[in-house]
Amino acid sequence: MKRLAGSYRGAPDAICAVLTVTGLVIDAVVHLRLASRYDPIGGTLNQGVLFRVEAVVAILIAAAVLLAPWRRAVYAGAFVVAASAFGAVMLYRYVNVGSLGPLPNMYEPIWFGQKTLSAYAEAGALLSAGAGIISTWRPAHRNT
Amino acid sequence: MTRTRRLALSALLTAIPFAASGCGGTTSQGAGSGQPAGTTGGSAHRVVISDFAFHPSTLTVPVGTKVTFVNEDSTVHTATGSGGFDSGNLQHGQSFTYTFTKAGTYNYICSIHQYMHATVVVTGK
Repeated sequence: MKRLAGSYRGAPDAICAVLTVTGLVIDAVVHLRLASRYDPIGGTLNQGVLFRVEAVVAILIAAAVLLAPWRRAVYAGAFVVAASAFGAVMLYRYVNVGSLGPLPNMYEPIWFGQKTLSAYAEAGALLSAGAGIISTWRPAHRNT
Repeated sequence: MTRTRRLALSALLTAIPFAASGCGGTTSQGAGSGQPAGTTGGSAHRVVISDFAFHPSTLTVPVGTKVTFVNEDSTVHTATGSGGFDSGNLQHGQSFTYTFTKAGTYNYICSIHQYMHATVVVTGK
């Protein structure tokens, strides 16, 4: 706990961690809420399953950011998760790529409330995780 | 033309209308108010599902009309509405037919993409 409390060098680091965690948690909640609705799209690896996987990974990474915000690898993981989620929602919003291997056709050229919220959360998590990577790269931080 | 070629050509010509009429699509039958489809003798109407919307968004028909919902989108949709009608999952090219046997306003949605909504207004004869 002492390490946790001392792991933030200041308000910017704490804000960075909080924004990353908040973005990932919103992303996870939205995906979990929508998952059952999207089960009919695809076969065994359907869109609902992918949503649940995305949600679980986002929650695990969010927990890791909370527990070890001084680790660059944690922010890198958060960046990858947020980037994949944001990239996927933008791709399938604007491009009908059809089925890709085992992935179902998730094309949906519409924005609606929860989807928009999730996209903003993912974008926010992406930016704050990027800032976290830069922050944990600072020489002074490596010595702590 | 050899006999084999003539046979192949005639088989091909026979297959084309069959393939054009029903390949890739299935039709389900439903009925309003628990009556079997086709017993009321009404005319047929189509609702096309395309670009993540129902077309037309409002359809007005007399009692006893069969309405066929056809999914022309590349993804799965449903037509799920008040009054108990539910197409189930419609893949691309599949259709569902329902006979409206009671007058009223039937609002329906796609249960997957719930921002898709439309209405069938059934009027008395």
